[in-house]
This record gives sequence, structure tokens and C-alpha cells, in this order.
Amino acid sequence: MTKPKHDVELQKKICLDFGADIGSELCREVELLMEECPECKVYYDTMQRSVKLYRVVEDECALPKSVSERLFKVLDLDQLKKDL
Amino acid sequence: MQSHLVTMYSSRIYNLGLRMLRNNEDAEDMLQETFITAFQKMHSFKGKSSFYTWIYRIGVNIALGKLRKQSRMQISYSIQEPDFENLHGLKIADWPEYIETKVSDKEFRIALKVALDDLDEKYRSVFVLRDLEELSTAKTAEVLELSESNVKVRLMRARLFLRDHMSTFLKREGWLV
Repeated sequence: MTKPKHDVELQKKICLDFGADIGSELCREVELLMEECPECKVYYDTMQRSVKLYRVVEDECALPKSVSERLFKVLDLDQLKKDL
Repeated sequence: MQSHLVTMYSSRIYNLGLRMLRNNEDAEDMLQETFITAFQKMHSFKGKSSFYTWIYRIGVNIALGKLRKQSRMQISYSIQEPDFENLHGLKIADWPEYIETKVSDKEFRIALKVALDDLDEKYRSVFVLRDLEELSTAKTAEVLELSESNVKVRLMRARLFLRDHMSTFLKREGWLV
């Protein structure tokens, strides 16, 4: 059975949306459209949630002291650092 | 002056290295090479962009160079775009609301990191710059020397790869029905 044309158009739009900025106006419009395709909505939502999880897990860590010390040494800035 | 710049930016450059290169040793090498290169080329810094933007680009290029060297020894692969026509009517398991609270779970954090490690470099670089470093599409395209449409396609594929890996992990752990 051929899928309704609006489903295909919606699916294309979702594909495009994956490359758009999350939280943008376009994203919001697509979210409205996705109400017509619950599977796509779930897929899209879980994708967004995985990005958010990555932002937590990959959050910035402090530069280890030993790394900083070696950097200053390599750059021959040891004395300057002490003077700061 | 140089010491002040190192103090100001070394942590951010190191974190960029960690995200792109996925291990401490390579991130430290990248950090050192970035500052050495920046100080050697300081005369070419014209102040058109901020110092951070300038040194950030040097850092990305050094990281990319390392990744390209590594990728010569690895099998590169392409991620296919999902066939959305086939999504319609399929049962796509939603994630329970408590998943976000599991982010402190060690196994869960490892699974997230492993999926990102497994992502091919050409997709991971785009994901890191766009979604973690939060660069714009235009800036990511400029830094990686890609077209904006290519950035968008790679970003979508990266996100879906990571999403699918997480779903597989959640199912295996019994967190998804």
C-alpha cells in the first residue's frame, strides 16, 4: 500500500530537521508536524534526549595539575608562571 | 603574556582534545602542540577574530591531523540515513523518564562514552563541535572545511548512531520494554 503523501513529506522534513539546530523555530514547527507520526516523534525525542545525555557526560573537566605543569615546562614558561 | 594565555585557555583546549581524541595522552599531546604552534605563529595573528577563536582552530586542526593518522589504520565506515518510510508503523520504544537520572550510573556513562568512541571520526568531529562545543553549523563547516549541508547530514547521522546505540544498551539492561 502506498503511504500517504503527507507522511513522506513529513519524513523528509524530519530528516532535514536532524541537521537543524535543536530548539530552533524550525524544530518547533517539525515537532508540531510530528504529532501526525508518533513513531517519528518517539524517535526524534529519544535522539534529542541522547544529545542532552552527552552534554552531561562529556561536560568539561578541570585541567589536571600534572598536565598543566608539563605544558608550562614544554613551553618553557615555568619561571613566568611562578611570577604570575 | 604567553603564560597568561596558557592559563586562560589551556583547560578549554584540553577538553576539546579529550572530546575529539577520546584519551588523555592524545589530548595532552594536542594541547602542547596547539600552544607551541600558536606561539610560533603568533606574528600571523591579526586580531580579526578573538585569540581563543584563533587558537581553537589551531587545536581542531591538530586534533584532526591526529585522527587522520589514526584512521589510516582503522576501517572507516559510513552510517546510512534512516529509512523513515519504514519507521512509520514500527514500534519504536520510548525511553522511560528516569533515564536522565541514570546518568550518574557508572555503566551507563561508560556505555555513552563507548558509543561515542565507536563513532567514525568524520561523524564524531561534527558531533563534538556542533553538539558538545556548541559551534554553529556555519562555524563547524568553516573549521572542518566542509559544506554546511555536509555538516548537517553528518550531524544527523551521528545523533542517530548514538541514539540507536543507547537504545540497544537500554534494552540490554532491561530499562526498555
